Formats: sequence, C-alpha cells, structure tokens
Amino acid sequence: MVRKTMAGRWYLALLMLALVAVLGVVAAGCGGGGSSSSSESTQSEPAEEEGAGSAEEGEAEDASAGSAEVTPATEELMSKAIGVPYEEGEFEEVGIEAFNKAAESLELTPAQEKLAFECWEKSSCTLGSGELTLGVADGFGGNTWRKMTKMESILQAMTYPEIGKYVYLDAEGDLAKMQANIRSLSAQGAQVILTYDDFGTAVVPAYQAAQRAGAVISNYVGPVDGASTDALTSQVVVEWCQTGKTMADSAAEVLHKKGSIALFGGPPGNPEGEVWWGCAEEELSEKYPELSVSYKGDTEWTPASAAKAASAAIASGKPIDAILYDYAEPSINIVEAYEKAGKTPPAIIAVNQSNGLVKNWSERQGTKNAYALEQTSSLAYASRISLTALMRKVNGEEVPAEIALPVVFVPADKSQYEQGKPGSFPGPTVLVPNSLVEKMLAAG
Amino acid sequence: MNRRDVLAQLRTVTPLKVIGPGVILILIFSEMVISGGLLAQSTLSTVLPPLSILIIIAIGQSFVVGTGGIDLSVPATVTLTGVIILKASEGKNSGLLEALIICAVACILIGLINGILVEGLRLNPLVVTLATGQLILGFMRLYGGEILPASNVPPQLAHWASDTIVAGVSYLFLIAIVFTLVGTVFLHRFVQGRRLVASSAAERSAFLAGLSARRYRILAYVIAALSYGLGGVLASGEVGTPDLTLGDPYLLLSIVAVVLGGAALSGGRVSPVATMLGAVFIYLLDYDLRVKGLSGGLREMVQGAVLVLGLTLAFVIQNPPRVRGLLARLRGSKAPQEPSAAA
Repeated sequence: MVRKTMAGRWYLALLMLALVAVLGVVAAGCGGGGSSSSSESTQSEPAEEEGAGSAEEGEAEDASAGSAEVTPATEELMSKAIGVPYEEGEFEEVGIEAFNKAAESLELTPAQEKLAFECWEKSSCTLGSGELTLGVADGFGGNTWRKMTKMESILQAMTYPEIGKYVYLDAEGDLAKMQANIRSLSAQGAQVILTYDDFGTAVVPAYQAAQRAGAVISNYVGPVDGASTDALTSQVVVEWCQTGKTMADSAAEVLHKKGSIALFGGPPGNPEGEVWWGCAEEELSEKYPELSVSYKGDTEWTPASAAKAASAAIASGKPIDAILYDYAEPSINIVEAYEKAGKTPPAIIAVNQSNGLVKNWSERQGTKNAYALEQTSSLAYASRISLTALMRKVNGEEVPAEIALPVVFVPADKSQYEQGKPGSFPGPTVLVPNSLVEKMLAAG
Repeated sequence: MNRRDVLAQLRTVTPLKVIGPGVILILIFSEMVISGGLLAQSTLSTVLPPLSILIIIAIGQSFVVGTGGIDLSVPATVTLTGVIILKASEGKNSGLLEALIICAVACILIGLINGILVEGLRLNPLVVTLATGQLILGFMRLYGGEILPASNVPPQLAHWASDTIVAGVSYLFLIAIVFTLVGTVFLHRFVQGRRLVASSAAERSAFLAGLSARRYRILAYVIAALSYGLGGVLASGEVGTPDLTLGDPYLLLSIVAVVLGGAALSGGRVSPVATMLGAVFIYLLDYDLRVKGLSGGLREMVQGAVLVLGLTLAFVIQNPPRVRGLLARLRGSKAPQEPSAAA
C-alpha cells in the first residue's frame, strides 16, 4: 500500500515535471518566435532602407504584375535553366512570367542577398511588408537539391511585394509529419503554399483541407496523380511518360539504335517509375526494333541501393549497354559497381544533374572505363514556376492545373563540372547567384 | 568424451546446425540456379562489401538481442558515422583519423545512453532505442548543418574500402571474418566475455553469482553501438558518398540475421558465427531475388516471411519439450508434462 502511494506520488511528480517542461517549451517557442520576429523585422529594416524591401518599388500591384514576354535576359535564363538553348514553346505563359521574375530576383543588392541567406538558414522569416504568408512544405529537405530549391523559392518570393512572411517546414521523409506540416501551414495563415510531395496521393486530404481554409497550393517536380484542383491549384511537374520516351530516344542515339538497355527506378511501386518504364518500353518497341530492355532494377534513389541494383544487374549476366535512371546522383555508384566488377560501365542516361557524376564521367574520359553520359537540367527552378502560378491565382487570374517542365537530355560536357562545389551540387542549371551559392555551401 | 556423448551431441539440434546447411543450400542454389557466377570475381567484388557490413552490424545487434532487447537506433547510428566522416574530415585524408576518433566517441556515448536507460532505469528497450535514434537524427541535422562541406569521403577510406585482396574478395570481408572470430573468442574464451554472456542470458543468476550483471548488460549496448559505428565507417567508404539514408537498410536485415542465427528475441545465448551465417543467408536470398529481377515489394515480403520462419525455427530448437507436447496434443494423445519454469 505504502509502495503504491509512493509510486502514485512519483507519477504525480513526473506528470507535474512533464507539464512544466511542456509549458516551458511552449513559452520558449512563443518567446523565440517573438524574438525571432522582432529580429526578423530588424533584419528587414536595413533591407528596406537599401531598397531590398519590395514595398519601395512602387504600388504592390504594379510591382507584382508579371509579363509573359520573352526578353533576351529571360531567354538566356531559360537556356541556363534547361541546359540547352531555349526553343519557343518550351515554356507556357506562366513559365515565361516566372523566368521574368527570376531575372529580377538575380540582381540582388548586398542587403537583399543577406536577407535571402538569413531566411534560407531559418525555418521562418520576414521577406517584406506584404500581407501574404508563403509556406513551403518539403517532403524531405535533407539534400543539396532541396536546399537549392528552398533558396530558389525565397529569391522568387522576394520579387512579390505581397509576400511578407516565409515559413519552411521539412517533413524529413515522414508522411504523418508532411500531413501535419500542411495543416500547420494552414493554421499559421499561409495563403500560398508550395510543396514537394514525396508521398503522392496520401497527402491529398491535407491539401484539400488547407485549400478549403483559403490557401492555394502548388506542388513541383513530382506529380500527385489524380489530384484535382480542389487539392492542388496547380502542378508544375515532369511529364514522366514523355520523359520515358525521350530517354529511350536518347539511348537509341547513344547506342546507334542497337543494343540492350536496363531500366533503373526508385522505390518499388513508385508511380513515376511505373509510368516512365512503360512509356520507354513502348517507345523502344515501336521505333527501335533492335533495342530491347534486358533488365529492370529497383533502387531507393540512394547510393547504396543503386550499387546493389547494379551488382545484381551485372550478376544476372544479361547484356547491358545503357542504363536509363530517373535520378542522376546515385549513378556514380552504378559506375563504381561496374568498375569493381572489372567491367566497363554502360552509358548512363539520367534525369536531374549531379556535379559529382559529371566529375566522375570527366575523370574517366580517355580511359578503359570511359562511358557516355546524358543528363537533364536539375529542374531546381520548378519551385519558381509554382510560386508564380499561385501568385497569378491570388491576383485573380486563371492558371493551368498542370504545367509541364521541359525535360531535355544533354550529353555531358566538362564545362558542366563546377570545381570546388560538392558532388551533390545540382550543377550549373541552378538559378541562384554564385556568391549566394558559395555562402550556402560554406554555411555547412 | 565417449562415443555416446559424441552421438548425443550430434543428435542435438543447435542453431548452427540449422543455419549452416541453410547457407550451403542457398550458396548452391545461387551458383547453380540463379546466376551461375556467384563465385566469379565480378560478382564477389560487388556482393562481399555490403554483406561484410551487414555481418558486422548484425553481430552488434546480436549483443543487444542477447539481453532480451532490440536496438532500433541502428540506422541513425550508422548514418551518423557517415555524416561525421564527411563533416570532420571534409573529404580530406588528413582529417580521417580525427573523424574516426569522433565516430568512436559518439558510438560509445550512444551505447552508454541506450544501456543506462534500458538496464539502469529499466525502461523499455524498443522505446528507448527508438527515441535515441530520433535524438541522433535531430543532432545529426544540427551537426551536419544545412549542406555538408563534402559529399565524398576521404579518398584513402574510399580506396581502401573498395580494394580487393584476391579474386574479388575485399578487405571488408576479411574484417567481417576477423570481427566474427574475435567476437566468438571473446565470448567463449575470455572471462569478461563469459560474464557478459552469463549476465545477458540469465541476469538474476549472474547477479546471485556475484557479477555486476547490469554493468555487463550496459556493456552489450556499448559493444553494439561500436559495431554499428564500424559498419557505418565501412559503409561510408564502400558507398563513397554517404547520405542521410546510409543506415536505413540495416534495421530489419540485422534483426533477421540475428534471428536466423538462432537467437531468441526474449534473450539468451547468441553466436557471432551463427549470426554471420544468418546475414549471409538473408543477403544471398535478397541478392538472388534481385538478380531474377523480382520487385522490391516481393523481396520485402520474402524477408518478412524468412523472419517469421526463423523465429519459429528458433522456438522449435530452443523448446523441444513444448514442441513435442504441442505435436502430441495435435495427435490427440496425452501431452507430456511441460517442464516447470524453475526447471
């Protein structure tokens, strides 16, 4: 009995402690938020003084009104973003407007650069004096590509005077956290929400609830199949079927329309993989009778799983002249698996861009392990188009429910390698000023 | 030992006697049915390095399973070592030693935290190691910063981890074998090792025999964390570009390997050699399914099924009277009396 009472007291004491701790955390969070917002407003002051604040640039509506006219500067920027000279019609009107805005965002004063960098380091900041809150819900913010995308969205947001607060939430690869983050952004009053959705349709109910509460949402790069506009106002995505066909065409060109191909995808059953594999096979069987798919391998889009898949492909004994893969970065591990096995690596045709892969390719030119490499752009600019589409919607204009990103495979070139930058850097198609990139990399 | 004793020992079913032939069978199956080139240099050079890492991590996990716990902080610990290698060395050979020392200190701390919370405060091992894993992941993000200064490990580590001794057999495999043997000798031939086994398998008896059983059980967590750390360092070198997913594959696989090695999840004796064979079995099975081009979903199903089968076999091997009783009851005859708990 005495022991029970003692235990009861202990539990009570623990409960009290836990309550005090929770209250402390909440108080610290509120205090932190307060101090953070005060510091944010302090930080935004010099920016405004020096012209960083967008309010000074005239009437809000005038400043935010976008143009869909292709100027030489925009054309140059679009060519940089896709890695090849821009051809008319590759971007829709909203895409062109996004690049016009992006061109504005690259001419940064030192104060604006400081503000952008400080905002990038935080999960919440004040970019200007506008009333809108921009929320970014990232499914997994742990790699360099996502960090660059975050900066692209900050820079684009700085060109809209309507945007005041910027909030970035990282779900760290956890579906439940992603759903909670969308709800949290909605509760924090984010009227404009960008999202990189790693989880597909599972997040749709959270999107619907947020849009019902008054937000507009756009996802970029990874499509959410079947999501209607009541869930996502606009999707800025890769058309995976077309990408599969383009990959097949690129492989045909590299292999002179003859040989065997392996298809490498992400986690088993991921919707993108199923779509592009099917379309690539269809294109091969329709147009290239002497090209065939000899092997298919799942990876988790990670270095270790790519190496395992390559090892199994080698051991299967099936001929493989080219590997089509929907993620460039782990392709280095595929090349290394071939080298370990004493075999010449096959041609690699991969979506996205990796500084490390270009370096790897470059170092092997002229050796017995030389291989052909074709990559697309990094597509890091996609978040900019998403934001522009949503700002159009906020300003009462109609936006397409789906905006396709052009995917062009470009043969590797030594000039694509950016010396001094890590292997995970997505390459020269990133639209972030170099001085800012260097600061970001140094901040690690 | 007379002839009868030898025969009796031969007739006794042990985990090693089950998993040993299992591995031989799967080796034959892989070589003759699946690829026909399992022992070829090109295959061994790519299969042995990740297998070696799994062996080391699984042996670490077996120390915890021996105490009746399961360590869920494996992926976070393995990934943390990868991040430390990148961050502390900045991809340079000159910083490698410092990075390795930090890894060792971090692993000892992780093991101590896990061990003290589980054995000292008697908290649930699953909850504690899950929470520790989350703490490590959070710490890793703070320590690593927004972007890591390098994405490649020091060339010396990468070169060494991918180098082979002869015919595709890598240094990593040699390390895994040595690690297994050292683990076995430590547990069976050293006083400290035998005390560790006694404290893990029968804590109360060890305590009554005068051993500070709790300390030895905490030591099991520290040894486990150091094993994950070693596995993480080798995995970083093998992959070359470790990322935040480096440790992910090792959680389920390490538990499956330990179970296939005949360990009971409720605790008891574990054998590093049997755990090594368990790792070989599950890795080769996954490899065979990959070579055949079967989807990842199916491979995961097979791994789950093998875990269930392994657990059932371990139960059968360790509880013959209960199994005989169950069979007798199924046949409708009177079941033999079960041994009492005290017995």
